[in-house]
Amino acid sequence: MHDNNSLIDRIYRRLSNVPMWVMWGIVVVWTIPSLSLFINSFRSRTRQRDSGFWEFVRDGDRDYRLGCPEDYNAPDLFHMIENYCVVLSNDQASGMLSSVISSLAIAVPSTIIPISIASFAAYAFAWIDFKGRKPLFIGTVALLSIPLQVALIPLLIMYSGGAHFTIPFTERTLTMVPDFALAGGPWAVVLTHTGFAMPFAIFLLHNYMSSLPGELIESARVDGADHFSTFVRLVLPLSVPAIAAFAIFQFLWTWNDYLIAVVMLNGGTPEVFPTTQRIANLAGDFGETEHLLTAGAFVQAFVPLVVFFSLQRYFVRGLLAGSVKG
Amino acid sequence: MTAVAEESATDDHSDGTGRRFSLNGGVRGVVLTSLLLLLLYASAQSDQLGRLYSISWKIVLVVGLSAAVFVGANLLISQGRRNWARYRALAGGLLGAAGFGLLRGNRSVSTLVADSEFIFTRDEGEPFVVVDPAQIDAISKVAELRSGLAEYATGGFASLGTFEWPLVGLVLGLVAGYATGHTNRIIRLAVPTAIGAFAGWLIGTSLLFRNRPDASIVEIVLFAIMGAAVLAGISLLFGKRHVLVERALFGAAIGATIGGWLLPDLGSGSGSTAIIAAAIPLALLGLRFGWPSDRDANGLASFDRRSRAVIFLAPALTFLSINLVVPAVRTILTSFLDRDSEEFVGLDNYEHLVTSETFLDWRSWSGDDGTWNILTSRLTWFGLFLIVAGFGIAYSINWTRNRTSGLDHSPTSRATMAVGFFLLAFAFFSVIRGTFSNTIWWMFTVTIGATVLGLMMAVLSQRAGRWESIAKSLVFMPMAISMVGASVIWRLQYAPKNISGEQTGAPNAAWIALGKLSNAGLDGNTYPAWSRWLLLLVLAALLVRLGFRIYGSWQRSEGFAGATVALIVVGWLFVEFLTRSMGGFTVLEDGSIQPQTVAFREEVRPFNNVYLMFILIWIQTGFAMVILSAAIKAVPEELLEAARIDGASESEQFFKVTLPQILPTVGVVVTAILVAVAKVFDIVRVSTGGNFGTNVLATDFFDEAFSFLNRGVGSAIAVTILLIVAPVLIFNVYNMQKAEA
Repeated sequence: MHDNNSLIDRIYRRLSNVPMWVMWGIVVVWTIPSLSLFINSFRSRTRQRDSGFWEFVRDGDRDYRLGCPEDYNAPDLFHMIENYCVVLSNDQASGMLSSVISSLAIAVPSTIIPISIASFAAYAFAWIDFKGRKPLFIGTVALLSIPLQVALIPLLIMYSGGAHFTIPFTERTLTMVPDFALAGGPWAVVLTHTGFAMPFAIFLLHNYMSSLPGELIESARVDGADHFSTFVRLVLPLSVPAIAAFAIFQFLWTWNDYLIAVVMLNGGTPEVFPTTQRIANLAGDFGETEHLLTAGAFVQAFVPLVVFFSLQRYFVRGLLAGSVKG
Repeated sequence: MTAVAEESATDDHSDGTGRRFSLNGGVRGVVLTSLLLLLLYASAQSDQLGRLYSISWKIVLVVGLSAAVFVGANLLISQGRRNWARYRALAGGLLGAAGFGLLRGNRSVSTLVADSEFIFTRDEGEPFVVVDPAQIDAISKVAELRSGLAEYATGGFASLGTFEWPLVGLVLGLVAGYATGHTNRIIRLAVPTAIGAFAGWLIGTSLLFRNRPDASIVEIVLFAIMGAAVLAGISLLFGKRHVLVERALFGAAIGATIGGWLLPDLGSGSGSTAIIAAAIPLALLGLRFGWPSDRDANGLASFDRRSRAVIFLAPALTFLSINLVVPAVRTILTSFLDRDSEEFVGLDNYEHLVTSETFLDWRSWSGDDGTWNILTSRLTWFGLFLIVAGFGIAYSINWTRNRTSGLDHSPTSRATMAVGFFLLAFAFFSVIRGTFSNTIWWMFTVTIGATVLGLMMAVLSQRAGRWESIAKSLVFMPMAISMVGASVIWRLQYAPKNISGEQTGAPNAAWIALGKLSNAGLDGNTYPAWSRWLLLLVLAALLVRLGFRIYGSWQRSEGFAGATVALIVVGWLFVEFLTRSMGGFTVLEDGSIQPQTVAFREEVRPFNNVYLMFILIWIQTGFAMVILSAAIKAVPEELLEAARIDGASESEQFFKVTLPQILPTVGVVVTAILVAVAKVFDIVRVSTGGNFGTNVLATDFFDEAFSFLNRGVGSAIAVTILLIVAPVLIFNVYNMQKAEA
């Protein structure tokens, strides 16, 4: 009798725990859209159109064979991964594969280059004693919250025609940056990302590097190591956690970016469009390709999700260390 | 800001999410490798391997080259400590090559020459050759023609090509640099000066006509003396007597450059004036580098430190200035120019922006009959009611506790008032339309929404025990999804379908199901009548219970904010279900019933904005949650323990102990989200394309700058966004300065 009573008690307490209900309510609302996308990406065009994703339990007549179908127009026969077959094919209209490669061509160098450059600068700010170090560092960090719109127009002009400086009070212009015709290709996007990543990367890596024990670095210097070898042999290996944190952050950021890509690649061929731009364009044409949007959006989100779940701890650390970038 | 950073850098346990949910190393490797294999397989299947390959080697090449340059520069500096002359030679060589390359790159010196023949090319038309010197002289004196001349050359060394110029520079620099590091003072002074003069002669003879300065030697010398005096004066002023001569020589070189190149007209000079104008500064520069005596160990160390700082910082600062600072300054300047950045138009762009109806739209402020819409809005009155109610609660709590008149500051009254103000602000934003108003509305709603929800998740998930990390990971996941992807995801959810079929989006399906429930039992409704009565019974029971609870709490002078909120929500639900007005399901006039969908992105103006904002809240809540969760876990347990011993309830512990402790972190979260929202672009662009009154500043900027190609107005909008986030920027700098001091 006593046991029974406590069971009812427990159930009552569980049910009347309103805060938990609220929390799980948030979790469900937060999960449903992604779950819906994932499930719908395996459903045929008509099913996506005619019923909600929760009806997938009734989609019993599906063909479960692996691989892509040979005839996409065969009626009543739908392969589970058919949408992915179309999306990952070489089809110009809806093929995402070339844009996956384009996204990699943007995200990988946009991650590696800022990391290297910023780690040099972070070391200099942390451990090399030079005049004007403090104001320069504060100035760099002040650039953290500059909205990127402010720089986009001149950057596009520079990448499509070089940068020229008119010497004041004269008619003379001096070419500072020659026209490399970068606009319309991935390097314009990479260079833009590199510039915008710089303040955050320097800020994050500097915070980490300056927290390394000073005696360690001093003793290396006393042993005759110059700044270069101290940096390469000592500080860089010790900073791997911070570098990993920034790398993941930057990779997600650049993979998911849309604005810079759409500005810099406007005149380019569709082949160079990254996944975000391709998906945005797909979402633009209503009707015909809407059933592919689910698989396409999932392909777009798949890489960041894998990176995110496998390296979540570093990502969180990056967020915590520099919660100013957005 | 810095506090959070340091803590996370040293302490792994402050991670917001548990580690249980992240994969271990082996699994991670397998997953990433199979991803790579999948990519390779798919590429091979669709003929993309070639592209993948070419992209890969380009990346390797660029990264490898950059690394080589950095390592090379460091090795060069290391040379300096061992062999000064060799270092000087290398540095001089590089400088010479760069300088000569720059001249060639700017097409200041030419290549096309055949002794007495002069080749003219115009911007348009065929190049033509002029042999007669008198003709050349005549042509070169006609200003219009001269400006149209793209390229022509004189005799001498002008036959050097694109690769020869830097090569000559390299050799000259090598010799001059080596000489500046020599132990013999005569050599140190004479050789660099001579080589500088020789380089000047070389440049002067090869210079294009259009670049020849009409300089006089008197002017050059005069300015050289002035420059020397200025820099010498500065070094005396700052007590740098030991470098007096070097500074003076450097100043003289700068002065000579100004006197020789910047002041005189370019293009009307002769070969000899060009030679003089080039040779004097370069010779002075050579003299300046040859002047100092050998460096001692101390000097070498300081040289090492300074050069390392330059090498380590130069790439980053170059990128910062070229890609951020200079463009930002240029944008500010172009915002005062016309659409093609040709004429100065003052504040016209800003005026155009501020006075346009798309920027701030007051048309909805009053209705057709002249009434103020804000006064007919239910939001206004409910907000005002809550504010008044908040004051009432504050007063009555204070009265029951202290028997004095005055206001209580407990969460119950404050939360009520806060919600009231929030609704009032919403009413305000819903009648003032336009991109600017929308942007502020976005900042307001998303910042508050994401922070509050993130805080709720951070606090509540702590009680979820072993489910904590999973709940957090699920809420955090949207952070990894792009805004474009999120917009697509929510677009599929928001889209209403024809009411004759099923709804595919969860919100509409749920909304119609609620409508069916509240109209249960009517003809044509599949929901049985008792389902509604059961629901009403449960709600009524809850209402009664909540009423007792609030009364009891009041009697015991405890907080009852949560119960009050629940009472309002449950009471509202009860009324809605009782009057059959809940959900998207209506009874038409002829008695038939019909489901009603909501077109979240289009129809429900202006509140479609709020549904777009929710997408960003969906993304940002995880961010707020993770950071606030880490902060909450860092609150010292003793403080909470002390509060518990004093008999504080759980909500009191939170509001009186935890919240004040994490307030700085809340500030960080709020500022971060504010900055992110101010420039929101992707969501609006993908969801509605800025239609249906959802345009914000960032989408407007894109349209103006890149669709209508109006650089002036585009820049003005960008500057407006900058001004909106400027307070945050200043706040950050202020904080940094405090932290660094």
